[in-house]
Amino acid sequence: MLDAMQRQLRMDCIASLATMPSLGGKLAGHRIAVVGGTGFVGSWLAEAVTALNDDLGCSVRIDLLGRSAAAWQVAHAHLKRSDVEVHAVDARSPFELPRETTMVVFAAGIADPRVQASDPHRVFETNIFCLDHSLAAAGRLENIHRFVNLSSGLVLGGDLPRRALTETDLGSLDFTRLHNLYAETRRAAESLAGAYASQHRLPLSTARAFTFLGPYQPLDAPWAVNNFIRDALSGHEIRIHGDGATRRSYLYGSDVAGWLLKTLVDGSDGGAYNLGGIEPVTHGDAATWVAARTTPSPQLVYKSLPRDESRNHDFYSDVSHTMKALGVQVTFDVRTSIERSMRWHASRIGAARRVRLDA
Amino acid sequence: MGKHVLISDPTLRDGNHAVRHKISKENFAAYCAAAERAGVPIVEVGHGNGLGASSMLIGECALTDETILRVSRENLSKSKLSIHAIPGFCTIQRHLTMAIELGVDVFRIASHCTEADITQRHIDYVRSKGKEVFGVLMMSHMASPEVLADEARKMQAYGAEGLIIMDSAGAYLPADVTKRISTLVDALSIPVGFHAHNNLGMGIANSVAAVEAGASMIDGSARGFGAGAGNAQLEVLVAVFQQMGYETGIDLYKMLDAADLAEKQMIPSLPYISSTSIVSGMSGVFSGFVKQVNSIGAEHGVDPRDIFFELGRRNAVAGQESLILEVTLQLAQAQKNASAQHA
Amino acid sequence: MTSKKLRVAILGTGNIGTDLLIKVMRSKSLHCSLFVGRNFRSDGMQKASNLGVNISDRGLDAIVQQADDIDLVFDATSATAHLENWSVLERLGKKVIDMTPAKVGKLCVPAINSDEIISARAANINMVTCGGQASVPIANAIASVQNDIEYIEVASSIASRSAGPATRANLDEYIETTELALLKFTGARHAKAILILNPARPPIDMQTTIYAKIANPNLSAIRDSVNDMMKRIIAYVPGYQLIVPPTIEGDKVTTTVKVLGNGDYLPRYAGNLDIINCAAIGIAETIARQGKE
Repeated sequence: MLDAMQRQLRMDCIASLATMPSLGGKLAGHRIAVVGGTGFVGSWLAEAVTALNDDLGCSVRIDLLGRSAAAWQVAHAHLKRSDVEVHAVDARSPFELPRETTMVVFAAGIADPRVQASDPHRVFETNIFCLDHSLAAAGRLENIHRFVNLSSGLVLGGDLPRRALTETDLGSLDFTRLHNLYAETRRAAESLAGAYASQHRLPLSTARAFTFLGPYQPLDAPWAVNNFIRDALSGHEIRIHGDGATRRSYLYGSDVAGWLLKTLVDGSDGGAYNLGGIEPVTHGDAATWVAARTTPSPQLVYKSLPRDESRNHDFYSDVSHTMKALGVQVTFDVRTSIERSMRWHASRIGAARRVRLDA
Repeated sequence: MGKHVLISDPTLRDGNHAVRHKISKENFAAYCAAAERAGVPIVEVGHGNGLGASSMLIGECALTDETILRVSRENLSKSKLSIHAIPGFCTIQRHLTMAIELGVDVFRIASHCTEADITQRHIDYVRSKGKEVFGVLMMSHMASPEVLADEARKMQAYGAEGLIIMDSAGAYLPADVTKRISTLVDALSIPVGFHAHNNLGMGIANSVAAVEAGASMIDGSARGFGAGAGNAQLEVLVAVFQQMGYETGIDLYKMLDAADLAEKQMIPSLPYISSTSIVSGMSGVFSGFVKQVNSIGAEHGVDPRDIFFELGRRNAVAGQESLILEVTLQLAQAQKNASAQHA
Repeated sequence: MTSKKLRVAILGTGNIGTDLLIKVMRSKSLHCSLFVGRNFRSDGMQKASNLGVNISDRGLDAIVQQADDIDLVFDATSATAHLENWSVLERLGKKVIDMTPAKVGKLCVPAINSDEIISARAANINMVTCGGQASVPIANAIASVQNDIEYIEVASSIASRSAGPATRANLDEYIETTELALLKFTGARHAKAILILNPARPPIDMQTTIYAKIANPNLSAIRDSVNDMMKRIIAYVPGYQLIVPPTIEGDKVTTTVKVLGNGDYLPRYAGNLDIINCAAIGIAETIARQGKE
């Protein structure tokens, strides 16, 4: 039995999947493995798979591989079913994928800037070795249809144009600086995957994540919107660092899952696809929407920095190539994504009363 | 500084496909001599699948590679003698060393468009012997422009001095060629070449598109003598390039004479675009499937043209003959279901 | 009891070595004392460790140090490395099954010359090539009932994905070794081997066609001989199938076989890798059984 929130997520998946009616047929009979599958992406993919099977007449299986398998199962009891299997795997060592796996999403890696600050070596090892072992494991499968490397838009580097970023806006990256290590590992990972694809004939596509939003994202993950939501739900004022003009695009969890599934079935060999939202939203606006959704409505406090016009902090995606090549659409706007996240987080921390239900 | 196109002439190699590898010694001599007189820069000779490919699998050559090379070498002096070679058929020890000894000037080492890494040792060997070596990617429509560029870069890294892509199935339209050639020209620091087939009547147009996109080497055969629907017709190419202001170094009249000679002496029936050629070109499928597709189609009451299109959809390659039956049975079943619904 | 099994070491922890390991562990007459390579991080090492097998990253040195616990070594490294390995192993008096194309020792196709290998007490046994293991038995079966074979040709198609960097860098060695085995085991005047990498998806199974140019073929004798040989091959290569029985086409007799791998460590379409391993295990088990008598 699904509770109200779980039912909402199911309906969100159905709405996202409704924009790609051919997907169910193409996925039928496949078995998807998600490495690093006990996080946001794996959870949403599992939700999408259950929606496909229960409501859209599909028959697809998913295996989530991760270190925290047992904990995930406890936290996602409603996903304890025969079409969703969870395996305790530490991909930093060589491992094997279930034999009948036909599709692989590599969603592992450490993206948390706090870990990058304190344990950069572990970030490097994890991001590179996990992928290496995943590629080797996929290469041993009978019938691998596609391997999708979930990379990051940050591989584009810096010195970028102040507009929506396409897949080919390749900028420079000062790899001598430690704070760029994460982006550097994702670049090296794309290189590694490409080598594997070329030498071992692995059918590979790359999905570049911009900012995702939605339930299943840990509230303390240090992205701006999460900070705003956490501040609001704790009854504090919402602090915005800078002048709030920095822009991000956001893609909602069920669209992330839908787009990844579409990449698995229709991605081209060597193709790279931005995975992000279509409307750039400033931090100021996002914070305003969070505040509007909170009762009582918190103050917005700007912790200003000297305004430096020359530095571009914007980071948002141009997904026109992805939408055209894969035939996908954005189903959920940012306001709805924020509302969903707030309701989900609120219900988990007992702050449901703080969320304004009317629009 | 004029515009140049380097013509490479595989009449005596690709043409061998059309006559089941039975071009005679006299015709090797005669055509080589005619090509030499016309100033054709590179003359390619041998079994249809190249050096060392005479076999029961593909078809046995009437002459040994050695004989072909000797008689051709005797009749070419300013024109360069060239061979096509596919690793897996052709080895360094048995075939390439012999070819070098017999004075072959140009070695075109070829692989399927996604398998460039099988050519490393062969390209390297030829370079180490001081001969000219080009890399060739066959059935090139089966890879995206980016993948072609990756594979081409491998051949460049191995030492290839030029890179030719082949439209082996005759599947390209001019825009496809433009995209691929310009991608390769951007990616490589060696000259790029194009080998057309005429299944969709695009042999000349595609070759022109290739040159306009930056290709500097073009293949063409006399009267289009070649496998299936034939190659770009060489003497037409020479005429067209002349009209366009490109230098080929080839004497037009003597080229026409060479083509006339080829037609009279060597080509039992001129290449034409058959219905099968059209369909195999459209579907991008290896035309060698024709016999089996026809017979299996007849056996199961399925239109062979439908089988070709389905094979194309499934990216069938040579060696996947078993897929023909599978596809035919599926189509037959679908036909049965469709007619049952209408009943 | 372990003491009754032939104690083997596997040198080389890549795909071939790891697949061999799994087959050895399943064998009733073989025991893996040591699984040796140069890199603990390789997938094969991890697999072996998970299976509880003794592993070492010190290469040949590890075998030298534990020589007393080892009767036979499978060398699944490379042809160049084999030459070095053999010079040491020969001095240690160890039997070696060479999975590489080095061809230092006696060519072995178990369905044909197991007995000869045993009676000659061959110390270095070379397993030819995958295409050789697939085709030479059939070619031999045909040759054994036909006096004079002018020419034998073998064409193998393998999935592109099953051809790793080692195969691709050694196509010529593959062709030459296969042709050598064809000549040796058929007495034909000329032989040709062809290898085609097929990039089709899903990957194709390994398929081999044997062409024999024979003046006056006795088809029924050929078919009987091939059928007998099939039984001997299937005894150690369960996935071996006759797709097209010997058929006369013009001046040639054509036979086509397919090898479906067991899928022990590699996908089943990689029958090319499986067959050479099955053959190696086959001869090793024969040696083991011999040792007990």
